[in-house]
Amino acid sequence: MSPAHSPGQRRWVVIVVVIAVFAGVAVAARSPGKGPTGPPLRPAAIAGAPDAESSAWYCTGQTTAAGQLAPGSLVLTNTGKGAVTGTVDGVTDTGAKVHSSVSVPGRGQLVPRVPTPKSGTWLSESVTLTGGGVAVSQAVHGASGWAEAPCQSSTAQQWYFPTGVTTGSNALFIALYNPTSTPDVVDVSFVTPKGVVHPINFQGIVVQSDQTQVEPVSPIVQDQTNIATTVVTRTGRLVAGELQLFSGNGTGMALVPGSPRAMQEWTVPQSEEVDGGTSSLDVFNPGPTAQDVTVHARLGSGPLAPFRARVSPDTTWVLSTGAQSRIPKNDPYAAVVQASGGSGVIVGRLVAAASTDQAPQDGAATAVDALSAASPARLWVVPSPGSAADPAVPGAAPAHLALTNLSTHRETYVIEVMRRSGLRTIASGSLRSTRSFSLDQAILARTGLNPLIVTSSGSMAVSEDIGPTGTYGVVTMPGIPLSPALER
Amino acid sequence: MDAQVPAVVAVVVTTGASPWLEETLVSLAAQHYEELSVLVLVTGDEPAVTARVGRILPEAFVRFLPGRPGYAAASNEALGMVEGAAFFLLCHDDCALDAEAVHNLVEESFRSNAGVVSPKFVNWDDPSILEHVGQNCDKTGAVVDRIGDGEVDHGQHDAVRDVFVAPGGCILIRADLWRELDGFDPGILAMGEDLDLSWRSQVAGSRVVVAPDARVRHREAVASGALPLAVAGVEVDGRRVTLQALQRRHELRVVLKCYTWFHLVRVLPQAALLALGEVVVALLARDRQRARAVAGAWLWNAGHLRELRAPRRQLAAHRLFPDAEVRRLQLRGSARLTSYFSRLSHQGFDAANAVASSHGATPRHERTVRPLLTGSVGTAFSEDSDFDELDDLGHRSGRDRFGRPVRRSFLSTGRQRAVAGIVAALVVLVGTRGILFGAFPTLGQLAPLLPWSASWHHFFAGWQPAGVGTTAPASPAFGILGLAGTVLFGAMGLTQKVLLLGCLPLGAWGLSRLMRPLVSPRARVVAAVCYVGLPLPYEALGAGRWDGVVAYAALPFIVARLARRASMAPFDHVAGRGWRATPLGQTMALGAIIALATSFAPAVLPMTLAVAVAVALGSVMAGHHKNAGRIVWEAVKAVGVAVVLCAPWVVGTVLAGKNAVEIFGLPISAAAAPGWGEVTRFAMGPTVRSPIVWLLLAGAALPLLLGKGVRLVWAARLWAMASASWVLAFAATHGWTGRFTPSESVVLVPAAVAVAAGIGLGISSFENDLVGMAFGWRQVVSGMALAAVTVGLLPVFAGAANGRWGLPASGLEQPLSFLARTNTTASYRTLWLGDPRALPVGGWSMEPGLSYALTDQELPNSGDVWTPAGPGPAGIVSHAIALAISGGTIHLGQLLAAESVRYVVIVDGLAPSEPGVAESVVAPPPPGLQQALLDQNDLRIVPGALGVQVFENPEAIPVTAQRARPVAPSTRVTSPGPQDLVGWHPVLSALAGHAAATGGIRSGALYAGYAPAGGFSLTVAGRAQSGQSVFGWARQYPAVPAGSATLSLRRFPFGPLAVLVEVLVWLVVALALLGWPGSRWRRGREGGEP
Repeated sequence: MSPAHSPGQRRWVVIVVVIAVFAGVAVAARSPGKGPTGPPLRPAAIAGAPDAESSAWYCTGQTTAAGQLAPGSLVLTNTGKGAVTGTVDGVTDTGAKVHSSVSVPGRGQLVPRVPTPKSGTWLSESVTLTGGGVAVSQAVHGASGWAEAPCQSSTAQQWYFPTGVTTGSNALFIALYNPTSTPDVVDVSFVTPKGVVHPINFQGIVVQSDQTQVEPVSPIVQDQTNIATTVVTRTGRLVAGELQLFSGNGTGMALVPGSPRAMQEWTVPQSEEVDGGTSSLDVFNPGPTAQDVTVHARLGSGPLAPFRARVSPDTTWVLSTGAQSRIPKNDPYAAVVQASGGSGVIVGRLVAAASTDQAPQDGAATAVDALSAASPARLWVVPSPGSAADPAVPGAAPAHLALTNLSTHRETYVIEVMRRSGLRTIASGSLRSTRSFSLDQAILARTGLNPLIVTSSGSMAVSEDIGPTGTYGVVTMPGIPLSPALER
Repeated sequence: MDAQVPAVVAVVVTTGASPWLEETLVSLAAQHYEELSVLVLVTGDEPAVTARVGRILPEAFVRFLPGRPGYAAASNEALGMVEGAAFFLLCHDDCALDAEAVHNLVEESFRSNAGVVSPKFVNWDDPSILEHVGQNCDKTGAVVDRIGDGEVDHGQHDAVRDVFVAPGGCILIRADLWRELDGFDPGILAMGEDLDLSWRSQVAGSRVVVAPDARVRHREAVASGALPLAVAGVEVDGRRVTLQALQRRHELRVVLKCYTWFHLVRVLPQAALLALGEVVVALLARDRQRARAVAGAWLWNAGHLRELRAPRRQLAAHRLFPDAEVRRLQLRGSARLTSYFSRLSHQGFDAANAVASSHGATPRHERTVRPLLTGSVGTAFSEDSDFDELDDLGHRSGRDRFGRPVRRSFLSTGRQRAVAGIVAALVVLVGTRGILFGAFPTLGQLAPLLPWSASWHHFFAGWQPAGVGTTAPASPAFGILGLAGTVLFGAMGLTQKVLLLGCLPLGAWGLSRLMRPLVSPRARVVAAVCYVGLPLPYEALGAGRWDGVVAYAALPFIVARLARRASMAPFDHVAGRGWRATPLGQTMALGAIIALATSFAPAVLPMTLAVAVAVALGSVMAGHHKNAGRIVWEAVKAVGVAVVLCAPWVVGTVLAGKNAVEIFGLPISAAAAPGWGEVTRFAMGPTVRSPIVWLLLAGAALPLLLGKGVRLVWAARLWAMASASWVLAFAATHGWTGRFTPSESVVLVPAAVAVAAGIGLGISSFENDLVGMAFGWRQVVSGMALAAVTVGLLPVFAGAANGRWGLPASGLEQPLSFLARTNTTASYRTLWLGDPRALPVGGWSMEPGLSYALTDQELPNSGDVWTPAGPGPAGIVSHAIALAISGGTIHLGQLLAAESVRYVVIVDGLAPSEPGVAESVVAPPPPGLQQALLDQNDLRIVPGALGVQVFENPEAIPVTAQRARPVAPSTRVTSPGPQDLVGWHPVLSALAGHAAATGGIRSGALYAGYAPAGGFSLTVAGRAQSGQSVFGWARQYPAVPAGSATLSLRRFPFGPLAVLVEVLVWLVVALALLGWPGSRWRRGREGGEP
């Protein structure tokens, strides 16, 4: 029988099925998919997996011994069990090069002996390793004081520095280092309370491959209480660092690694306003739109009323925390800075202890960014200020280690000291959301100049204050995230 | 009493063999015309003729002519024998004239002042059937009848009118004219003398008219094959010249003779071109006789050019009519071509070629009497109003035979449908103008084709350079490209355009064929136009996708054949003839189509099965279970045939293991995947993204609402097919189907077929299923659907303005011009990274949205487009890239050095983005890829490559290289260390041409980065060198002496032999499908000539 004579013409069955298919897929299409969005963004400093084929770190901002301003050393911290070999290649601003082979023992630290360059004032270094799991930091010291900071594990097309001072005799330097094989053309601009400055001689700076160049800012952008700096490449990628020398009422030195991107959340795990001292949070908005910024400060006893401001594009909101009456003196607190309505901000902290306190009294650092807090493996390594044989400065030692739980849940944490013999837990516990924990100096003193490993079950901002300094925050070392799970 | 009428002499030429001679004489004897004399000219050796004539016409003159002259030469004898006649009646010996015929002819000659008068010829056995009412002819001398085959005489042609040709058999000609013309052309032995006489008569200023009142029955004994042609000179080398060959040679002779030089120069090239095309078509249709006839006509005339001098001079002396006037009387265009296309469009290839081939070769009485075709394409194209059959029904005046105004519905006439088709073709032409007249850019799958010889070589070679080299057989696409390139004399650019752009009309034609059993001609045209008006093929073209365009052309044919094989009504009639019409033949034909399409668009293979399953489900939904399972089974069988036809390639693909399914398409990033709305409106590319396209879907829904019977069942099947297609496309692009991610350009084609066919079904439902219904919602919905379809076509119409369907004017050839190889030394390779939609080469997937490919360091060509399913040792590259993305290395250049990767190219779109120019397909690679490569210490950015990111790897080892010290051998896959990278310099030529790599070398270690390493051997000065494995896949010859070295593949040629067998299988199948064994068998059975 032909269809024309078929008695069972199920027209509505067909229509219903077709509509059902359309509607079903439409509903399914509206549900959020699990489409791959690519690898997550990585912090500027992160230690690769121990089984990585190779890894590299880039350090800039030091001077040579002959330069005297801020000669320093590198600290290579191997979190893996096996030794990692590599090379340290230094280049000065005059093009002089030095080379050193290194072998970092498993679960150990190494302060490599880098030959003295034949010429040049400023020195940048590449650490190339035939494996991963190694974090590299640098420590500098000079007449103004000393500082420590992590090196960078990747290059970028832009770098931001939220803090800088050129008032009086304070000196500010921007160090540019191109470790790639592609030449860079770089523009450097500054945001001051008076507006944006694009010095003509800081535009179109050519930094050749494997070249370092340091720009003194103080003579160009003079007498500014706050300078935020933007380094952008027209072509190529590089590493940038900031060296701040304080020499006013107090002395100090800050080696500030750049931040490659603005972010919505920054954390200062521990801060303290001290008598006779000042401090501020510098919130720099490099984006094209104004952003609403909120600073949530929390004492051990509870949260404070937040500070809010609307930060216009290319401006810096300087929150003088030392001048805020709602922040009590000599009571440690943590601060979380959140921005909304734009692409994010960069947050730094400027600290000045009383001039009568132990030198160095002044310091600056970038707050802990959200990417570093959200370490992929929930692991951080906190390098020590040198090794027992080679301390960054005489008497250098961790003052205290602070953690701030940035997740919305209670998270557990374990703090371990890393020795050649293995890991030893020195503290553990749990933290409710937004709460902080500080490991006091007495316990840290027993660890010596050994690196610390912090393990958490969630996002955690990790930062260590290091002495000897006038107060907390003058010299700090953030926890460097580890990308893989730790070999135990 | 003096005669009151002019004297007429009837000249009857006979061989004496005609059994119808008596009837001819009887009819002459019975003429009601007083002054009629009969002269019988006997060309044969039949003395009995005298007696036969004498019994009927004792007063007739009988004259024997020796030497078996032809009809023309014999007739001319009358010129010397007859005096005083006013007219000659030139008769065959198989004609029977009505009693008033001569009277009417003579009368009409006077009335019309005509020099030549032709009667109305009717069938000998059935006088109600018309044979000829005069004939027409085009500029190339092709004679066509004014009536159709088997047309019944209702008096519809009973008007006296001018014609160009008075058909032979019975011609009345004024005696003075005949003498002036010197009679027939004696060089014409048979077939064509009537054309010659008529043409020359008109050149001499005489009219040629048909007088239908004079009726003649004509047996056409020779033309129909009832009697052999008994003329001396029709055998060449003992081989009989066919009537068709005589007809063709004499047509050309007439053309050469009757035109002035000026016109000849204009016409002859056109005639030659048409002849060439006819020969090609005849060969394709395995009609060697016709091909021989056409070609032989030219050769024969070339050899008889001298004979034409005198006739030309004589004609020039009598010329009163210029050629321009003569041309005005002829048909415009090519009558033969128009007739062919008319039959092709209505009855298909077989019918068209069967008629063409049978012309003059098959006994007329054995020809199939086909129904008259009204409104044919030929009619529409013809400017001769006589071809418009509707005129005979009175439609030309706009009124019917009762005087009422005729209401013509839209697209009811062939002319209107032809106009619709022409408009659609024009839109496509306008939209494609920028592509037609320019070169294809290097993007998508549009890389320049290999030269024809290289395409063949690539197809047959046992090794191809994909990745770091593989012995997997190449896609049959290379064989097809090689064949097409050979046919087109190596013009590969033209080949690319013909094959790619030819898919657009082919698809429309396929859809028209699909709809033929289902709907009316009007609905077919609408469906075909809608198929052309869907964005899908242009999106595929704009995105540079061969696969989408090829699938667009192939799927309608596949669906139609599947339905036919499953005997789904009304597809239960099997077309074709011979072995092709058998079930096995049909399955083989379907399999061959699938195989052809799969070669370029592998996803056609699974889509054939998907279509079959969907149609089966649609049948079940519609409550019509019959044959639901059979279509799936038939699809499986056809796919099996296709697999066998592509066996070497399929085996090589299957051996790729889990990568095998990637041959159907590579997964794109779900984040950049099209949404459900984009999928359902075919907005997959850059050109036509308007939501208005959804209106076409609304039109396609009409048969679901209105259809009855077979239309509803087929609407259900089509919508099931469309739904399956859309769902699969959406699922595949969103990563729901795992590794099986067929190209969305192909997956969506069944939906396009279904939508266009649904619209045609809607028209058919409107025509059939609303008859007798009172006005209501159905009519309103129909009107709305029609409007929706009309508006739904506008986006493509608007998209045509672009002229390129969004295809960028330039591709990667400009920014990457530095990759063009400047010497023949095998140097390095290029690594391509990006979304599969953006890569200008084929490749392998790393993750959804990120594919990679490894090519020689040169701009891509077609050899890089259809890559094998598995990367082989080149898979190492993906591990290295993944390591870099995860941050596990800063030495990617070092990791890629052994694979000789000199350049890494990241593409983030179909074509390089340029400031101020709208981007075509934006398909960025996953975030983090570029960052990962930028973080590599040993990769250097190549400046100046606009729109793509290029990195140079200075660490790369040349593909064939030498240095003093060998590297450490390793059978395990390893990466080179820093010490392994220094000191290499390139040696030997490239293996890209699959020939051996040769060159002079120095003593030292030689590295050969080709896989499979064990398959190659190196000889230096004729002596084989021992090698060892390095890096787990490459080959190193640690200590070679200086000399002339040759690196070549030394394996048993399994691959080439398999491909050779494949080609032979294709040949056998092609011959079988074209019917040669069948026709031989048939001829043998019929005792015909072999």
